[in-house]
Amino acid sequence: MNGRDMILSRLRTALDRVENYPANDFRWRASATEQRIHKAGPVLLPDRGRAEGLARIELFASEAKLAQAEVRRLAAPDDVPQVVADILKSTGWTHLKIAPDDRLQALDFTGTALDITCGSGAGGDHAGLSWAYGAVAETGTLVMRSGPASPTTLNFLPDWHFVVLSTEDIAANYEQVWARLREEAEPDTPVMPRTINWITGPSRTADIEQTLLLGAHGPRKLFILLIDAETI
Amino acid sequence: MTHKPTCRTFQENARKALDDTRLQAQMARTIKDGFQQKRLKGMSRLPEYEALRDAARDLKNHVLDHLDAYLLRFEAEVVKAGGQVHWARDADEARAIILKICQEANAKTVTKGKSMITEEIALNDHLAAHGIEPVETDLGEYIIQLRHELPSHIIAPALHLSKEQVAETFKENHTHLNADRDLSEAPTLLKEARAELREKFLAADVGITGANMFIAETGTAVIVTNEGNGDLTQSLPPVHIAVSSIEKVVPTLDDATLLLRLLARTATGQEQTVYNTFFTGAKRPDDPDGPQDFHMVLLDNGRSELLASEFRDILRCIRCGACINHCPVYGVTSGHAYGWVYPGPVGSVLTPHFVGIDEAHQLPGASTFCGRCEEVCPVRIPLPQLLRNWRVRAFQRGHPGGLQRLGLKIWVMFAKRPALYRRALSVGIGVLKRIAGKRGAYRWLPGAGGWTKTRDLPAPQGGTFLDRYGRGER
Repeated sequence: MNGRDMILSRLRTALDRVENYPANDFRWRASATEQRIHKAGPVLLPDRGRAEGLARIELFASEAKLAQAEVRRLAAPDDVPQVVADILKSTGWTHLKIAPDDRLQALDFTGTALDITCGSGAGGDHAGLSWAYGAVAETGTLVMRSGPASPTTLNFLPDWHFVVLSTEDIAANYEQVWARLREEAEPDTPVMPRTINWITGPSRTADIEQTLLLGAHGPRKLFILLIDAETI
Repeated sequence: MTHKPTCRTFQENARKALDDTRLQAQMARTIKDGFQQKRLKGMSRLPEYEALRDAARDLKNHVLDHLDAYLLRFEAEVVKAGGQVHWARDADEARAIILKICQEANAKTVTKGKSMITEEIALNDHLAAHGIEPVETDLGEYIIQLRHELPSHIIAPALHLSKEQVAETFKENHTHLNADRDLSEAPTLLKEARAELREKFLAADVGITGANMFIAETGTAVIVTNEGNGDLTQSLPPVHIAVSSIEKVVPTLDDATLLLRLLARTATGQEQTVYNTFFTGAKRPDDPDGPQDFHMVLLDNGRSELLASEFRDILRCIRCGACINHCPVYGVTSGHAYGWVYPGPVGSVLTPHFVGIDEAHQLPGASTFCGRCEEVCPVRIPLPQLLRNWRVRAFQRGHPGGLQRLGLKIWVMFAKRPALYRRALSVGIGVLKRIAGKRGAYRWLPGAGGWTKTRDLPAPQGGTFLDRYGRGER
């Protein structure tokens, strides 16, 4: 017997001998698990995960700030280049790596002194710019969905990470994001992309004497550029 | 071989820790004023916290009742997403599977996200013995790897070290840097580790992470990190291996969410861990980055036996560390005293299973049964009861032996004979009172040295409870 069969047979023995019929029958267990997966939905939603409208956007911003992210409200996407350039002014960095996202490619950086390249993250990147797939208000969390327009490495390698977020993509709770992914999935393709990153604030560690320090391996600073959906 | 346990010498290990004044001060500051306060603050921000604990307990029980079916469903989904699933019966098999994947990828260096399972199977030594350099990338794990130590805490591996010790370790190991550099402050230490590890991330041939949980619905596994190290570990190299144990499966994305609402809050008091990364199979054809090959290793290592035993409830554990943070014994002994990979109450339940009760028979006794571990456990594991179960097994195997056992036997002999017990007690009390004299306390008494070393032992006062009850005192 190989490892797989041996483990499964041990589990089956352990589960079959329990006296709670019908759970001691593998066929019943298999159909019970399928049913549970089929009916997937929230188990218990905290009140904080039920905010609507403007309150939801406010909650997202205040929770993100609590996690030490910096949140800027922008009037329109066209403001992104200047806002990023202004924030970067104090650093002396002149290069910005942007994700291969059409909405970011359409931005006009000619008025800034920034040198723009497009692609995945690289070890020496100082500043990166991405567009968020979504966000979760209850904890101020960004949701990044890997794909041709969103390289995962760009979320982690730059020193400072800028993320554009449309207010209409802010969900009240995590479960709404799962529902959206399920809804958007093409038939016969996996619901999940290779990588979903929930990001709540900049990278940190407390591994030296439990002293909190920002900027362990991921970005030292996280800027969320929040844009009203109507202007996009 | 796994790590050589030193559980037999728990008492000596603990004594050494108690005599270490620097360690004692650090433990008081990081545990009582640190982890415990942070959890309280985190709880206070979520009114539904207690209800979430009940739901999490029920979820994990449901998973354990259907474990084989969920694992099969998970396997099928991983394969659909272009990944491979490997099943490992024990530590040897897991190490062999992982080594083979690394060798097939011609790996010279491997970066690692923090993973207690790879500590459990002592993966690093095995890879190193076969010419592959494993590099731990979590800051705490990196520090203890340089020092050739085991983690002293499951979520804060270097909790026992001072920043001066860390500085010393960096100076000894980062010999290509200026020996006179100033490493007196924590931020400088972090900066140096970040620069060292950045090179390693980019050069690694394989990335190995654990998985805090994995999801049957979509074939997705989840890692939780504050540093972002596990995320670079799995997105930069061409091959990603995730290792997890079979009980960490959950049915759906929503179920994973339920546990993630509890995990960080209970562990560190954070609203959410900075990075929760959900990974599914290999990189997709259009993806600009991510691993071309994805392997998921599912480890049993005796968990199927636990499922059929009186220790089944321990399989609900989500490794938040709360029982460790609230254990008065761990709070003064620190983690290394426990002598193996998992410390604290959860360790005292798991370790005897992995290293044998003959080696670890002292661990179930390393508890005052105060019950705080059960009180704070987010999935309500009855840890004191599980420790008690191990005490029963230990006693059956002849532990403790010698004088302790003889003493217990004598006590049982009296306890089973109430008349004799009462008579012996009043005689004993009389003798003790006479020895104590007018002072009413002892500076020294045979067999009570542990107590009288630092304080007087009060002598018995008045009659026994039953005497007084018999005289009508109420």
